[in-house]
Amino acid sequence: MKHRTLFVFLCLTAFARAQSIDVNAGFASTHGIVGETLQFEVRVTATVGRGGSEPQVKLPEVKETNGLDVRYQGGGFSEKSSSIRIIGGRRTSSTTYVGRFYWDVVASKVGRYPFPTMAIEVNGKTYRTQTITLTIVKDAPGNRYVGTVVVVSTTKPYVNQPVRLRYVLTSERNIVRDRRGVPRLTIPWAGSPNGFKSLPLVKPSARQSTLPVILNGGDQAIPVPAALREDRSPPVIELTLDKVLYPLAAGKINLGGTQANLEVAREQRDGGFFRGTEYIDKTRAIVKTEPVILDVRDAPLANRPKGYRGAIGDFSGEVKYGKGEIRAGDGVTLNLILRGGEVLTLIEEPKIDGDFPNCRVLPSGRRMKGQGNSRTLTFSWLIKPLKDDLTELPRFDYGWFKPASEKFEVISTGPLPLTITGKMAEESVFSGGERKKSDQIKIDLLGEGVSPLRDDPGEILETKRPSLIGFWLALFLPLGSLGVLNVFLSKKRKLAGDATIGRRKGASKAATSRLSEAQSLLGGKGFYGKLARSLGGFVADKLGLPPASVSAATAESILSPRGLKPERIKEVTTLLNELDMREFGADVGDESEQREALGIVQQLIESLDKEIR
Amino acid sequence: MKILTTILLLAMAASSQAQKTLNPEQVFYRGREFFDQGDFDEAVEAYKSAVDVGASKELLYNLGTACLYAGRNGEALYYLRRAEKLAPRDVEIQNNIRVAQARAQDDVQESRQPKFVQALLYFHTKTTFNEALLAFVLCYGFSMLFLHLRLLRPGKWFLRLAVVLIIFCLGMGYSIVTRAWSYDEVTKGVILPPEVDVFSQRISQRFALFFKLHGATEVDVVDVKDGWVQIEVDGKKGFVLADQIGLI
Repeated sequence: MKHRTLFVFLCLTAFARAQSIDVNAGFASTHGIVGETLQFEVRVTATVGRGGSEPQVKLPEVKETNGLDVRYQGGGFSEKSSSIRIIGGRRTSSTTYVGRFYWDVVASKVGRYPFPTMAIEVNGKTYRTQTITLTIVKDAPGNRYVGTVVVVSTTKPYVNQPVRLRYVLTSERNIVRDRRGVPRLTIPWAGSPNGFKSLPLVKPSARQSTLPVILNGGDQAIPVPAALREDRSPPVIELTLDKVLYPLAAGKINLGGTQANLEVAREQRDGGFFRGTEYIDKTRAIVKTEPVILDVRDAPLANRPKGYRGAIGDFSGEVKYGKGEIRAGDGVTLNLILRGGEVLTLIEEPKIDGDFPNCRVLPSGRRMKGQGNSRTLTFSWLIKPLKDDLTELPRFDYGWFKPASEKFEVISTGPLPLTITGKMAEESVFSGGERKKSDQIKIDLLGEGVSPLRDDPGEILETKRPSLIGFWLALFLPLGSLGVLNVFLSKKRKLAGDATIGRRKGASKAATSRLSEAQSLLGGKGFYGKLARSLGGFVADKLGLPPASVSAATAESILSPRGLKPERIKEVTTLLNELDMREFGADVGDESEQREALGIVQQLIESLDKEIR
Repeated sequence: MKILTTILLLAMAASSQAQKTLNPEQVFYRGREFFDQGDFDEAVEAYKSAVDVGASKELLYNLGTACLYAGRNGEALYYLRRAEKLAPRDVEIQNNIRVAQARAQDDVQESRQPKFVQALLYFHTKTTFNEALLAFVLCYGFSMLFLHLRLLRPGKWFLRLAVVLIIFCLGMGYSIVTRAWSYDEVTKGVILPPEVDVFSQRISQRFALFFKLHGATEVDVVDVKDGWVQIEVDGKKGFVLADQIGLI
């Protein structure tokens, strides 16, 4: 079913027992004609809560039923939307999946066909569709207003002879083109059929009236030369589509038949300000044409002229030699000039090597000039005499078959009298100089110095361009792994509440700040206490512990597992002890003593910063 | 007499059919048989029919070597150069290339790169694509392993090793990508027949024969078009018919 067609579901809602799943099924139309493909669609709409996954659908296998040919065409979940609801302050989120599954149904005879019930399993639950009756008639009711014809210029063309095909659709009623759909045309030869060179469809000009259609599944605007022939009664709408094909090889080729599926109606203009259009008495029309079969012929075998070189086409031409007076070693040009239309693109370079004994024919350049029907195709060869006593170049004929007149045509030139001046160069004139005879290796034994042949053929493989897939994989996979590991470790650290990392990194900075605070208390009473907190605080920060947990009593048990040297641990313990005693003792010492203590603590903190990992 | 002729024709057809159905390996052994019998031209033709199907370094080497024995120096150098592409460090291939070059008639100045440049480009010129890819994968794999270890166990050495390996990988990667991307580019050619004409223009009424070249001369290829190859040799540019030059 095309996206433009509004799908009309008829009857068949098989309600889901659970509120979250809906299964609908139906045909776009229950009326069709013999041989027409009707599409049966099952639509599954499932709404799942947060974290829910796409529903699992199990479809029945139906092939032929009640005289109908049924073929599953595929489908799946193509739409997904999420919604959040807040009711009474409570927030709920859900995801809706919409899946569509299609079957093609074809009836080969007129009649009324019951399309049976189908059991569709969604997430383990079975939903059943209702039985639908299809009415198949010989002709669609609108067919009496519509006619189609395919006009072929010739059904027995020759190879390379253009075949002009014209598709004409006439309607005595207006063709419906509204938001529900446009005509659908199936014209196999409108594309690029195999075995032909095809010219693209002619694009309508901006001024030309066109009708939008779906042609072979794609959008297309078809010219309407007589958009509405008011002079006729009833008015006639005529659609035309022209195509030119050039058959490339002989044989019988079936280009297939055409089918048009459209709605026709009477048009009524409303009397409103915008003068809108309304369609009344709509009826469907499905019209077909017989297949076009071409019997492509090769050029006749009888009466083929001597210079016939296999070309077929309606074109003209001339062939001519260049000047016959040349120097030894030079060549004479031979130009074949063909004039015509598109067919020239199909003409291959003729083989002429055998026409010139005692000469070498150097390859030509193929040059095409012009466009449309005024093209010129030129082949130029250089005929190089291999003997300087050659006196004539032979007569040259170029023959081809003209399909229009069904006759062979031949153009000729020559023979050309030849005057060659000078002598052929026999010695090498390579300016780099030849090796001297004495420098050349005497090849008495051709195998001298040559490594021997091998006995094993190795692995003989077809030469292939090296692929970079392995390289890109090797490049990006470890990078991805590195990224994943990094993210994992970061998350792990965060999960562990590792705020201490920040503290660890800033431990020395915090210690410096505390030491400068202690320095400001030089000579005062709180100096030693501040100094002790600087040292203890640094150790605590560095190890990610609460600052109060580090004291003279606990220092050893905290630092020992960190792999510090015993003397360093003792140094910390002694210093903390000393600082405590000083803080709470009566003697606070003089300023020089305090400076000395400050220096010791500073040094110890620096050492610990390097040693504690 | 007629019956005899018919039988003979049928036998010939059957024999040619049998020849057609031989696979490349069988053709290889047949070529070897011809060679051992001293029929070098037949050996060359047999090997060539196998090369049309596929190639291996052994096949190309044998074909090039058979050409040397048959006195077809141009073709010998061409096929040996192709074999060299599949096995750039093969000593025997290099030896026979030197023999073919020594038998070349034209004294063309070969542009040789300085030794340190050759050493720098060793990886690029002396490894096959697959070898280069394997080396890259190993080197890059280790560098990535070190980076992973660096994340798991902080330490400067892992990072340093990884950085060194990544620098190598950059060079290798460049070599691999340029080889793949320039696969279809033809830059060198070998003159195949004993003697060819080099023209100053592709085609004209009064074209000039520029100079002549001889078999097994290696030239730079500038352009390939319409059945002609534009070549450059010792700073001179000219045109040679495409079927007279083997493009490497």
